[in-house]
Amino acid sequence: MKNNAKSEKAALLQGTLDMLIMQTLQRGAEHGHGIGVAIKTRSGDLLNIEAGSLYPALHRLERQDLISSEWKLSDNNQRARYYRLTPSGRKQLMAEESKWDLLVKAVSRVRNPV
Amino acid sequence: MNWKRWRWTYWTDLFRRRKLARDLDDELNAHVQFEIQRRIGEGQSPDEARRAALRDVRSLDSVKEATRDAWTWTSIERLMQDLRYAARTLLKTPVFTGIAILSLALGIGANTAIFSLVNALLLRTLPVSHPEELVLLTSYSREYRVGDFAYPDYLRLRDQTQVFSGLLGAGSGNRMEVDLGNRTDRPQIQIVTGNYFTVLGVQPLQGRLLVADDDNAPVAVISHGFWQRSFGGDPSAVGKSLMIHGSLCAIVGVAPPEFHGDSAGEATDVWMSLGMQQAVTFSRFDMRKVRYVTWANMIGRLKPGMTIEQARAEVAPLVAQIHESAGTSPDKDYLHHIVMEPGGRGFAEMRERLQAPLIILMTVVALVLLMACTNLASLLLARAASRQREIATRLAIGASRMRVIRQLLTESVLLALIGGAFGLLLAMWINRFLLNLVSQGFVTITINLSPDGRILLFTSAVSVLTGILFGLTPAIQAVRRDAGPALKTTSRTIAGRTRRGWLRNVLIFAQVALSLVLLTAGALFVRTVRNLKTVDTGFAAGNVLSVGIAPHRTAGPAQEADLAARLIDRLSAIPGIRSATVAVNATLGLAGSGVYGLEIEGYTPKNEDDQRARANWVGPRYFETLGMSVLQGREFSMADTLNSSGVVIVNQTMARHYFGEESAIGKRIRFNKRDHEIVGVVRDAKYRELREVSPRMVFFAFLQYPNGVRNVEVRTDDNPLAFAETVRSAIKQVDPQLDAFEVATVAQRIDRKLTPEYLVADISGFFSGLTLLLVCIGIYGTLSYSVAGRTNEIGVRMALGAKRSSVLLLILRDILWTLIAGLAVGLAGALAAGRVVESLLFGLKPNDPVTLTFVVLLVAAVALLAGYIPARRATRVDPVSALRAE
Repeated sequence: MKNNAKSEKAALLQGTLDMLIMQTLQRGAEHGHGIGVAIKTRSGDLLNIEAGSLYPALHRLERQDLISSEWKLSDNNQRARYYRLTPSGRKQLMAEESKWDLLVKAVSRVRNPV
Repeated sequence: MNWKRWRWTYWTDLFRRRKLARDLDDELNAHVQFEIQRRIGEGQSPDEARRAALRDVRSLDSVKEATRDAWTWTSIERLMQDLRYAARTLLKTPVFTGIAILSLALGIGANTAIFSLVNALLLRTLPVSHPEELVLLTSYSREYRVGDFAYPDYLRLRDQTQVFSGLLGAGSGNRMEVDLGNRTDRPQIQIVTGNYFTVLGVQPLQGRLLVADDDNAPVAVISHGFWQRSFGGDPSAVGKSLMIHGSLCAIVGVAPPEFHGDSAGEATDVWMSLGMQQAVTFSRFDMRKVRYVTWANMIGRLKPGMTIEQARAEVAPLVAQIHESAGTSPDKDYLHHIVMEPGGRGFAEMRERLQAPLIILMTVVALVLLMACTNLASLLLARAASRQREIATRLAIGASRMRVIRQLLTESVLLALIGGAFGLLLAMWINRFLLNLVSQGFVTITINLSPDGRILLFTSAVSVLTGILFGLTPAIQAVRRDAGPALKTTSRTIAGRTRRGWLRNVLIFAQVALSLVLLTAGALFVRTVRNLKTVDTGFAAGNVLSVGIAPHRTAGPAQEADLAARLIDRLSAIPGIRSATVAVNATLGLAGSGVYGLEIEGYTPKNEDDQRARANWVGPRYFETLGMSVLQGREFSMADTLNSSGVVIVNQTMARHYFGEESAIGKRIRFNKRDHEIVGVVRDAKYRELREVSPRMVFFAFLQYPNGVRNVEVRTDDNPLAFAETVRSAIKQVDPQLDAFEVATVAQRIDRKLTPEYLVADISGFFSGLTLLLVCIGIYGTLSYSVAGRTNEIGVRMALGAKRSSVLLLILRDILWTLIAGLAVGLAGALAAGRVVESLLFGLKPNDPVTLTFVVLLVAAVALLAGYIPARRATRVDPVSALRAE
C-alpha cells in the first residue's frame, strides 16, 4: 500500500507546514513570499518552502478559517496579499504547538534515555 | 463543515470563481516580484534574479493547480472534467456508445410508454374527492355478468340501503348528433342520474352541475373539452341550449377540466339528465319505469367509516329480495346477485378489455429492460477489460484509485443518462403510436399519456444502477490489479477461463434464455393474429359496406317497414351497388341480441337455456349481401311482410341442435306468441366475435319485426369505401332524420375487434425481434473481446500447426455450452409463459411445436452467426505478427 504511506507522510508534513506558517503569522500579518523567507531564515536556511506547497497551504488554511487575508501595499509599493491569524487560528496553533512540544520531548527522551 | 455553510461557500465560490483565479494570479506575480527583489538585494543581476525567481516558482501553472485544489468548489470543476473526459472517451468508440445508448433507450422508452398506458387505463383513480370511498356495483344473472341495472332496482338499492352516502346511476356513453344552433356536432352523450356529480364529489367550473331535481328536467352539463371545442370556452355557453333529435336541452354548467367521466379511457362530452332519456333513445317506454331494460351502471359512495364488507352484507339480502319478487319470467331474471368492488378507478369495461393485453405487454417490456441491462453489462465488462492498459497507465502516472473509479463511473452514468433521455423521446413516440392503435378500436380514448415521471425515474434508476454495478465491478478489478504487469504486456490470461469470463457467460446465458421466451411469446401472438384474420368467418365481406344508423323516431311498425323498403330500393338503384339490405345488429358489430323461451316443434327442451338462441332481424337478400351461403331453402324477400305468415332462417348449428339429421325446413318455432316456419338453413358464421364457437343463431325477417333500422348493409362491385358518401347522402334523402353515424367495411370492423390482439402482437413482435438483435450484439461483443485477448494464444497454437477449423471450434466452444444451457432454460420459460397467455391465443396451443422449433433454431442460428464472425477473425490471425507483439 504504497499510496497510503505516501499520504500519511504528506499529512504529517502538511501539519508541520501549517504550524510553521501560523507560527510565522503570530508575529503579524505577512504576505506569502515573506512567510517563505521568514521560515527559511529562522530555520537557518534548513527549510526551503516551495511556492507549490506554500500557496496551497495558505489557501487551505484560509478556507479552514484559521487565517484570513487582505490586499495591501508593501513597503516598496508592491500590491500583495497579506495573511493574518484569526482567533480560531491562534487557538489551533496553541494546540498544535503543545502537541509538537510533547512529540519533541518524547522523541528526545527516546533518543537520550536519562 | 455543515451543509448550509458548504452550500453557501459553494455558490459564492462559483460566482467568485473568476475573481479567485485573478487573485491567485496577482498573488503569484507579487511573489515573483518579491523574489526578484530579494535576489537583487543579495547582489544578483536583475536578469539572473528574474530567471532564478521564475525557476523557483517552477511552473506557475502547477502551483495554481495545486492551490486551486485547496478550493472546495473544484469538485464541480472536477466533475466537469470527468464529464468532458467521459464524453470524449464515449465518442472515441461510437459503435459501443451507440449500441449501449440504443439498448438503454429501448428498455427505458418501452417501459415508460407501456406503463403510462397501464397507469392511465388500469391504475389511475378518477379525479374526484375521496375515490377510495367509491364502490362499483355489477349485476349478475344466474349464469352470466349483466353489468347494469334497471332503474326501479337502482331506486330500491339507493333508497333502502344505509351504507351509502349516495348511489349514482349512469348509462353508457354514445355518440349522437346534436344541433348547436348554427351547426351540428357529434358529442359523446351519457344519461346520468341527478346525484351523479354529488356522489362523485365533482365541483363545477362554470354554472352548476346536476342535482336530484334534474331527474325530470331536460338539462345537461358539458365537459371542459366540449366547452372549449364547441363554444370556444365562452362562459355564455351556460344557459344556451342544444337540440338532440328535435328536443331542446339546456346547458346548466361546465365540468372541471380534469374530469372526463366515470371510466378510464372514455371521455364523455355531455352528461344529460334522466329527463332527456326518451328524447335521446327514442324509446317508446320510460326507462325510469320499466324493469326489462337495464341501463344504469352503479357507483356508490360509502359513508365515512363504512367498509365494503358492511356494504356487501347490507346489499346482498336486498338483492336476493328483489330477485325473489321478480318472479320467473326469464327476461326479468337478470338480477340474481351483485358483485361489489372498490370503484375508485371508475367503470371497468375498458379496463377489463385491455387488462390482460396490457399486463402481458408490461411483462414483455420489463423483460426487454432486463435484456437491455444485461446487454449494457456485457458491453461494459468487455470494454473495461480492454481498457486495463489505459487504467494501469493512469494509475502509474499518479491518478488516485478513487479518481479512476469515479472517472469510470461518470462514464457509465453519463451513458445511462443519455440512454434515459433518448428513452423519454422514444416513450413519447411509442405513446403516440399506442394511442393511435388503441383509438382505432374503441369509440374514444382520451387519456393523458404524457410519459409518467415515476416510471421514467424508475427505469432510469435501474439503468443507472446497471451502469454503476457493471461499470464499477470491472473498474474496481482494474484498479486493484497491480499496474505493472498490465503495462508490460497487453496479453492476458486465457480470457474465457477467468472469473470475469464466467460472469460474461452468465450474461449471455440470460440473454439467450430471455430472448427465447420473448420470441416465443411474440411468435405466438403474431400467429394468433394471423389465425384470427384468416379464420373462416362464414361470409364473404370483401365488398360490404356497413352503415350504423342512430336510433330515430319511429311512427309505427307499418311506417318503419315502409322506411326500410324505401331504403333498400333507393340504395339498390345506385350504380355499382349490387344489393342492399337492413339489419338490427351489424355483423361483427358491438351489439348482439338473444331470444328466450323459444318453443321448437317436436323438441323437448332440457332446460331454460335450451330455449335460448342468438338472434338478428334482417332484411331481404341479407345473406346474398353478406355473402353467407344458404344451404337449404330460401332467404327472406320483400314478400315476407307484416301481413304474411311468420318465417325464420336458422344456422347449421341451430338446425343440428334441434333436428339432428332431419331437415329443419318446414319446422315451426313459436316465439313471442307467434308461429314461424323455418324457410332456410344458412352456413355457420362468426356473428359477434372472431373467437366465438358458432352459437345457435336464428334470423327473423326484419319486415315482420320492423323495430327501427339500426344497420344498412350494402354490397358493391368494388372498393366499398368509395361509396361511403354516396350511401350516406342517399340515406339522408330517404329520410333526413336518419343519422348514419358510422360507415365502415366489415374488414374495418374486424380490425377494431382485434385491437387488443394487434396491440399485443405488434409490440411483442417488435420487441422480441429487437431482443434477437441484443443477443447478437452481446455474443458478438463478448467473443470479439475474447478473441482479441487470445491473439497470442491463437498465434502460438497456429504456429504449432493448429488448423483453422480447430481454432474456430476453440473460440465457439466458449459459448456453445452457455448457448445450449440458455436455450434449454429459455425453452422451459417459454413453455411456462405460453401457459400463462394461453387464453389470449387462437388457433394454436402454447406449446405449438412448429413455433417452438422455429424460435429455438432462430435463436441458435443467430447466436452462432454472431459468434462465428469474431471466431473467423481468430482464424485469420497471422502467427508471426501475433508472436512478435508478445
